[in-house]
Amino acid sequence: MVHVVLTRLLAAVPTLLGVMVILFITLRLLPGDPTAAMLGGAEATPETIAALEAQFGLDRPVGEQFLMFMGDVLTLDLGTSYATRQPVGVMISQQIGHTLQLAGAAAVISAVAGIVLGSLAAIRRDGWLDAGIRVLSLVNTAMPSFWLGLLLIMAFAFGLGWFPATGTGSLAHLILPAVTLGLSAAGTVTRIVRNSVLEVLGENYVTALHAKGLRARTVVAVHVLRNAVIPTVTVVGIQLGALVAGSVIVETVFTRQGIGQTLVQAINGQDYPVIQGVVLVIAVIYVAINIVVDISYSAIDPRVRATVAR
Amino acid sequence: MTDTLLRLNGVRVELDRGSTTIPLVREATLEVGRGEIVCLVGESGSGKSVTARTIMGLTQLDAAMRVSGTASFDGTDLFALPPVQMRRLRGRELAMVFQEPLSSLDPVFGVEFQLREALRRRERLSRTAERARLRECLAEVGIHDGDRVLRSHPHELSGGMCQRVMIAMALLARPRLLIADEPTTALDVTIQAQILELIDRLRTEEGMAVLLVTHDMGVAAELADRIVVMYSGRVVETAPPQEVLAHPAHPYTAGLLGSIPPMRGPRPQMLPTIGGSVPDPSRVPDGCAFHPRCPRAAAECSEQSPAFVPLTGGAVACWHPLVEESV
Ligand SMILES: Nc1ncnc2c1ncn2[C@@H]1O[C@H](COP(=O)(O)OP(=O)(O)O)[C@@H](O)[C@H]1O
Ligand SMILES: [Mg+2]
Repeated sequence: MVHVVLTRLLAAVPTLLGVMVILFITLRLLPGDPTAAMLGGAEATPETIAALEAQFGLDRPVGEQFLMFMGDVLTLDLGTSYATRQPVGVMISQQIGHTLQLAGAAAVISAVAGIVLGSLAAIRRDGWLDAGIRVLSLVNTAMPSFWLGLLLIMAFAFGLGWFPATGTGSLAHLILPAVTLGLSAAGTVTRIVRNSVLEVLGENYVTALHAKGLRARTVVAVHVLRNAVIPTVTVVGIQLGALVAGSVIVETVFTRQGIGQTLVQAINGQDYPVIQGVVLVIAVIYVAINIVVDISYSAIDPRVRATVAR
Repeated sequence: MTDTLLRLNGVRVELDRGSTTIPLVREATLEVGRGEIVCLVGESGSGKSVTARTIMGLTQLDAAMRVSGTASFDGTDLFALPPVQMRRLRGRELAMVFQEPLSSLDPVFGVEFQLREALRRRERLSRTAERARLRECLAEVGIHDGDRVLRSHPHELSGGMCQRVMIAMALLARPRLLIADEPTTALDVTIQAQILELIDRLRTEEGMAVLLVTHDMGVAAELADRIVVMYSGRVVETAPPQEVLAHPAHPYTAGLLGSIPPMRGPRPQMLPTIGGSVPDPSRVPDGCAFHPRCPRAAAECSEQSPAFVPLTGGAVACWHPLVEESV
């Protein structure tokens, strides 16, 4: 098991390196001038600008800048924000809790909604419930999360007044953003679970389980679901990664604190170190989730457990 | 016969396809006596499995299936039972073993868990007593390293071992009727004989009746107290094995015998091996469904379906049977 995790971690290094190279180059190819953002619109002499560029190493060739950046990353130093002059690591660690809370809650919502609705649709195949769930999941997948977020704000914050529209902190603040983000992934999970359950329902062992005289409920809840979940774990895992990335949009809609907000502000201010730091952290989370997904396979499926042990 | 355990009468199973209904079983009429082994034979696609699953009430779980006729099990009309009560019979009075042992066990649960599930349908014991009972039951089906097998997952076992586990699972129900649907078709020849021997022995020891589905006349001749021949969704002949072997009445039965290796006893009247194959249920010929393949077919064979008429020790549905009707 340890061996598996180590191999996966090593395999992740080129991925992370690739992400950072592309990001680094793209940022520097895009038009704009980070020193203008640092100055916050104040007038400055060419000497001041040159001094700033020298201070942050922006006068060096891009290749050299990249090597310096990667060297710092290896010592867990993500650099200093141009705008706030705070260490990027500190900024992220102050914000990441909010984002993980949001993504975690959204993951639970999307998994529960997807598994419940997906298996209901499969069991009631071709009935009205199935038709309804299928239409709903299609609409849901097609609907951008910012739009869904605005609809929820209008209905539950402005209309009914149940939850605050914006802000961070309490459980009440978390609910609308988490539902928005969770539902953005629920449609996909529902469809995968439905197909997967349908496939399992056609298996010989399901007939054999009925032949044992087990309740239909037991057959589905104990046997069919566990078998059907295996192929959905990958998709849910990918969705989880997407949720962390998707929180950027949702945090903006709900003006909620988190690394998404931090990232948006950094992009507006051309704050390279912050952009790089946040993207690197998101990429690392992505990779970590993938490894966890791989490990969870062997927890669910004894056939995988056997090959992993070997 | 007074000692009948199961009696099917004119059982019909149709698949509702919205605009059309397709008859998968057109007329299944057969009897199984207490403690008897009845073999249901016929080529692949004859409707043997659908008939077997219908007796178990499994076909009926599919909303698109329509079942009619009567199935009386120890005096109870199975088709009239509410689904809840039918389910209670499964795993207690009725048990079934399937053709594909490897795919008939849930791959993600261990053997012990799956056997316990079956045992708990029958009795509640302490966990240690359960374990002992499972080990004992595995020993009955010839598994002597029970502890290892209990700890295994299905993918770690061979096909033959899985089938023994499936049989053990069926035995935990202590059923009055065991339905075995081609239990050895997926197994090696040497294992086949062992499994069949096992079923025969358990029938004697446990006194349960067995409906053994097979497409192998040789197996049927060896084990059966009675043979039921099915063709294209219809039972066309039933008789004791010695009758079937010596004087098959239906040309189809004779054809099945002609296509198997010689058996003990007098060699049956041979027909040239039957050409063609079982018709698709949606395109069953008029009259006797076998007539396009039958060397004895005459005009009436393609017009009207022959009635089921009694014969020495059995019955046949044929306009021109190979033996004289005794009436
Ligand atoms: N669930 C089903 N849906 C549609 N057709 C089926 C189904 N089950 C069986 N059939 C059809 O019914 C016929 C009889 O099948 P089966 O009982 O499995 O035959 P046998 O067991 O004698 O080989 C076959 O033509 C088969 O294709
Ligand atoms: Mg079959």
